[in-house]
Amino acid sequence: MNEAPLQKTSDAINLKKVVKQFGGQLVLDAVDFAIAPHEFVSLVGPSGCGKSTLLRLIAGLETIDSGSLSLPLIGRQKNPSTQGNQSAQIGETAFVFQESNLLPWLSAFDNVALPFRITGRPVDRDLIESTLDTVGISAAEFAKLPKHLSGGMKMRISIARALVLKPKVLLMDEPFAALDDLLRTQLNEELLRIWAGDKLTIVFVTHNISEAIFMSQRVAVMGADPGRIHDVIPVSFDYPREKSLKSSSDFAKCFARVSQLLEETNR
Amino acid sequence: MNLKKNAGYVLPALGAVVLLLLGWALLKSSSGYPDYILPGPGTVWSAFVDHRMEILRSTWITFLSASGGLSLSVLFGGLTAIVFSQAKWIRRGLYPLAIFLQTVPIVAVAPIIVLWLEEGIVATMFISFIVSLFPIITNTTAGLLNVDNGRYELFRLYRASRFQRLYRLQIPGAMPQFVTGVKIASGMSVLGAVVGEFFCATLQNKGLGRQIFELKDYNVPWMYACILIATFLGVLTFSIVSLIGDRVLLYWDEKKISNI
Amino acid sequence: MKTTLTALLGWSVAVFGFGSVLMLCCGCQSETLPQTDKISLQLNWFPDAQHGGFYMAQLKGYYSQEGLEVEILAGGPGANVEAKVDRGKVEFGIANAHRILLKRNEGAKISAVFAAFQKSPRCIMVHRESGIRTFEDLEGVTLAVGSDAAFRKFMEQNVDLHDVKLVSYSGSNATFLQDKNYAQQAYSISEPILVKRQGADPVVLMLSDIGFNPYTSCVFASEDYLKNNPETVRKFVRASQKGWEAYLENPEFANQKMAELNKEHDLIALNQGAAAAAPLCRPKEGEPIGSMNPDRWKVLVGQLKNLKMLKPDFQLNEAFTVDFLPVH
Repeated sequence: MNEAPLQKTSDAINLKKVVKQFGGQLVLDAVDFAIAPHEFVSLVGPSGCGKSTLLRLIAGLETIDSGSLSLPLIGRQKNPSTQGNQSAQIGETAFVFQESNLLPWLSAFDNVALPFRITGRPVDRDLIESTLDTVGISAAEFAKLPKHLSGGMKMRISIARALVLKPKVLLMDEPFAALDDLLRTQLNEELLRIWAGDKLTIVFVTHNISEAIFMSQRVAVMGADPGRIHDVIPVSFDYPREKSLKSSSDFAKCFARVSQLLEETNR
Repeated sequence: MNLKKNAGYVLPALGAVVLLLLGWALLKSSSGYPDYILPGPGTVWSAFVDHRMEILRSTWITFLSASGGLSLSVLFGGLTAIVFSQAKWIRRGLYPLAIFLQTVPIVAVAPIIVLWLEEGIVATMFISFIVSLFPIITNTTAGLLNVDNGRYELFRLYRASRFQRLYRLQIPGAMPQFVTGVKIASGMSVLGAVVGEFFCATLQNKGLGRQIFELKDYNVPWMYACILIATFLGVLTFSIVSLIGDRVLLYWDEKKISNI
Repeated sequence: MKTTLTALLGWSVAVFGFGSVLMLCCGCQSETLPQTDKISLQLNWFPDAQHGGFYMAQLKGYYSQEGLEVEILAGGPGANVEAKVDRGKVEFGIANAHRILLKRNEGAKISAVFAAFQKSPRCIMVHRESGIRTFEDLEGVTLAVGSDAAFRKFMEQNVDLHDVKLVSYSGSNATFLQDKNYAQQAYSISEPILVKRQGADPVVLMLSDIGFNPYTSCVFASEDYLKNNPETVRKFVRASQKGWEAYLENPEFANQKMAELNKEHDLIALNQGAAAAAPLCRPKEGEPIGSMNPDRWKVLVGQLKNLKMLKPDFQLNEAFTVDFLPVH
C-alpha cells in the first residue's frame, strides 16, 4: 500500500524496515517509507503511534535500532551500526518543535540568528530579516523579546529560525497544535506559500486530519501498537490551495477516507 | 517613575519601621530591663549620634570586607558552579566539600585563617567569602543543570559543542537561579564580615564586628547602634543586589511573576 | 486511626503527668532541706589560679562551717557575670574592679565586698627573643588583645604604640608560640606559665607597672542583696578570706579540683600559678587578704573617665564597701 512516486536513488528521505525501541517497548515496527524531493507529506495518527519518533529519527535526534534510514538528497546514510549523526552539512535538515523553543533572553532577531552563531558562520543580517519577513514578522518586532510576543508570532519566529540556514528538508512536529484554529489555518496557508517558494521537502506530523489534508500531497496514516505506517493516501488537489477548499465535497470525501482509515487501524 | 508608585513601595516599609520602633519602645518600658540589657530606641539613637564618626568608619570597614567577600563568592561560586555542572562525578566528589565549607563553624576556622592570612580586612573578607559562597554554588549549579528540554534538543540539532551549549544556553538560562543565589549570599556576606571581625580585625580598622565585641562590656546602647547599622548594611547590600539582579533579569522574565 | 489517637493521647497525658510529678518533687526537695543558705558564686572565667581561694573555701568546708551551701559556677568567654548578679540570677560574682565600675556606669547596682588580688596580674606577654623588656620598648610586634577595652585604651593613651599592630586575641596561645614577633594579653599567673611549659621564653610587662592596677577577682553582689542579707555576706566574705589564706599557704588541694574542671591547666601549671599569685594577693604587712582602699577606687574612676569610658558625672557611691570585711 506504500507508494514511492519517484525512484529510490533520487528520494529525499528513505526508510527501510526501520525499527525503534524505547526501553523494551516497540515504538516503530519495520517502517518502510519513501519521500520524494520537494514533497509535502503529513504523518497522522493517534498518540503513541510513533509519528514524532519517526520525525526525530529523520532529524537525527534519535538513532534507529535496525533497518536503514537514508537522506539521499543531502547525502546522509544512517545505519544502526552508525551511532550518532553522520557529518552531513548541519542545517540541511531543519526541525520545528511543538513549542517554539525561543531563547527568552534573545530578541526575535537574535533567536533567528542563533543557528549562525552556534555553527560558527557569519551572521547574515539580510537573510535573517528577509526570512522573518517571509514568515510575517514585521521589522518593528525584530528587537522584541519573546515575552512580548504572542504565541503565533513565536511560532513564526521558530519557523524562520528553521529556515534561515536554507535547509533542504523541513521536519515539523505538530507545530501548530498549541494555537487556535484561526491562527492555525492562517499559518497553514503561509507554510504552503513558503513551501512553494523555497522548494523544500516538508514532513509534517499532526493529529489534525483537516490540516494534514489541506497542506499535503500525501497523508501517511499510522497506527499504534506497534507503530507502523498502515496506508498512504494521495491528496491530489491543485496548488495553490485556498482555505475555501475545506468546504468542498471532495475535501470532505478525503477527510472521511482518512478518518475511516484511522479508525480501522486503531481499533 | 511616578510618585504614586514609589509611595506604594516606600510607605508600607516606612510604616513597618515605625511599628517596629513603637514595639521596641513598648517592650522596653514594659519589661523593665536595664539599659545594659535592653536600651530603648531613644537611648540607642543618642549613642549613635554621640559616636557617629566612629560608627561610620567601622561601617565602612565592614562594608569593604562584606562587598569584597561577596564579590569573591560571586566570581568563585559562578565558576565552581560551571565546573560542577559539567559532570556528575565532579558533583558527587566535590559537593560534600562545599557543604562542609558551609557547616564548619567560623569560631573553629577563624584562628586558622588568621594564621594564614594575618589579621585585617583580607582575613575578614575571606571569612565573608566562605560564609556566602555556598548559596551561590547550589543555586547556580541547579540553574545550569535545569535546561529546558526543547532548547536542549534545539542545540543538539545544530550539533552545538559543549562550550556552545554552556555559553549560549546553560549560562544565560541559569541567570534567574544565579541571581537568587547572589541575593541570599548578600545578606550572608555581611553576617560573615561581622562575625569574622570578632576574630580577625586589627584594632586600627575595627569594623562593626570588633566594635560590637568590645562594647558589650561597657556601652551597650552604642553596641545596639552598631548592631542596627550592621543589620541595615545587610539590608542595603541585599537591596543593591536585588536592584541589579532584577534589572538583569528583565531579559529573562518568561512568565510574569511580578505584581509583588 | 482511632486507636492511634487514643494511644497518642494516653502517652501525652502520661508524659505530662510524669513531668509534672518530677518537677513537683524537685520543687519539694529544696523546701524540705534543713536551714542552710544555698548561694551561687559565678566565676568570670574558667577555674584557675585567680579563683583558687574560693575553691579552697568550698573544699575545706569553710563555707559550710558558716552554714552556707555554695555552688561555684564556672565562667568563660562571654560570661556576663555583672548582669547575672545585678538581675538576681546569682548571689555573688567575681569581677575585676574596672568592670564593676563600667557596669555601674550603665546602670547596674552592684558592689564589691572583697578583693582577692591587690596587684592586678594583667600583663602583656612577649618573647624574650624580641628584646622587649619594658613598655617603652614595645615596637615592631603584633599585639593581640581581647574584648576588655579598658587596659588596652589605657595603653594606647600612655604607651607609644604607633609601631605596634593591634589585633584581636583568639584566646589560644598557638600564634604566640609560633611567632617571635607576636605579643598578647595575659594574666601573669596563667599564660606565661603555660607557654614556658611548651618551650617558649616569655617576658611579662605588668600593666600595674605603668599605673593601671584595678583590684582583681573581686567578690561582688547587688546592692539589694547586701542590704537584705548582710549576715550571709559577712559569712561568705569571712569564709572566702580563710579560703584564700589557705590557698596561698598550700594550693594543691584546690588546684586538684580546678585541674579536673579546667582541662587547659594541669596541676603543675596551677601550682606554679598559685605561687605567682601569692605576692599579688598579699597586701601590705598587717592587712588581711581582700581589703580595699578607697583611694585605689578613686584613682581607677579618674583613669576610666580619662579614657571616656565612664560618664563625666559618674560617682563611686556604692561601687564598693569594706563593711563586710572581717575586722582584724
